[in-house]
Amino acid sequence: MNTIQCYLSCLVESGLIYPFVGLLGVTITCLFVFLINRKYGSLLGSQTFMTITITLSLFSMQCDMFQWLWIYLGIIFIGTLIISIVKHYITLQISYDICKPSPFISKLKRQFKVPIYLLDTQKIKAFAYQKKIYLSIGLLERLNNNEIKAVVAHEKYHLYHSPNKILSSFLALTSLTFLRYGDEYNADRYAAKTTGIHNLINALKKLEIRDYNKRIRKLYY
Amino acid sequence: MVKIERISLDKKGLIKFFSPNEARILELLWKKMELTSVEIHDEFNDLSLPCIGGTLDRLVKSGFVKRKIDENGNRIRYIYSPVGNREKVGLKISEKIIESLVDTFGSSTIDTIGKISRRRK
Repeated sequence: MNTIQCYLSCLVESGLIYPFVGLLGVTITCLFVFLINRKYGSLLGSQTFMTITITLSLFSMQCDMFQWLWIYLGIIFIGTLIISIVKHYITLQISYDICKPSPFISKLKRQFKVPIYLLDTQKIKAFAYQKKIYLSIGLLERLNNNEIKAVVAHEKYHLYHSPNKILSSFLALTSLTFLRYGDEYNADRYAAKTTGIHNLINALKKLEIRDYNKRIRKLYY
Repeated sequence: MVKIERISLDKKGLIKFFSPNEARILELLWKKMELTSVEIHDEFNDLSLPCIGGTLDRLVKSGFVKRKIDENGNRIRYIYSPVGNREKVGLKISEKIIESLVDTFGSSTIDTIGKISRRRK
């Protein structure tokens, strides 16, 4: 009996074959829906169902096939540990770079009603992390006020609409699909709509963002 | 950035101790004393702004350049200036190298420095 036959016989004998097939069907449907509409909810659904399907199938295993459950749990444990360490490192790095609040940032905060912090670096950085927006002085130097507003609007979209990066990484790991949801185009559309398409395009060009031509094209379609 | 293991004695000038971009920016700052990153970029068109930004961050971190935040009106920017003149930087680097040599070779380094200084007088 080969591995697949053994795996299937365990599933059949445990009586979990019907829920397994049903869950697999739902997972594949969600994945197809995601490939068509590119919505985060569909990916989240497919990854959640995939995680349940894997766990269910591993629990139905008997004899030495059961060891796969421990390997799977081991992968999840190590992955979660790595994600936590990376998260901790990023938080530390950010806290090291934060500089004193400035009147310029206070003005932006009032305008966008989001917490904004200034990073003390000449490097060009803008990101949303843990319900806050971070902008580097290097970025602020390069852009005019309207372009800065476009960047803040882009990050504000990530803050309120983009998936939680930790949850997203965790689900990519547990579902063994390693699929991550990219939300840049939606954030670009939001920024273009709220602050003007030309401001966003100028900001993307000035900051020499990777794939900026592709992102600009997406704004028009 | 003046890391002992990265010192290249076969090169000439400041690039023995700094990367070529660090050396160029440092020379310019000694000449002009106060500059913004955009002004530095205007002088070195062959370098991209992100590259200049990274180099300036490294120079600040290692203590050869300082910066202050200049915020007037609606703009915010850094103004860079050198921490010391050429001689002061030379002193700092020499100290670092001699300390490393003394750590490795002990009193023979001090004897050699004495010999060289007597020879040069």
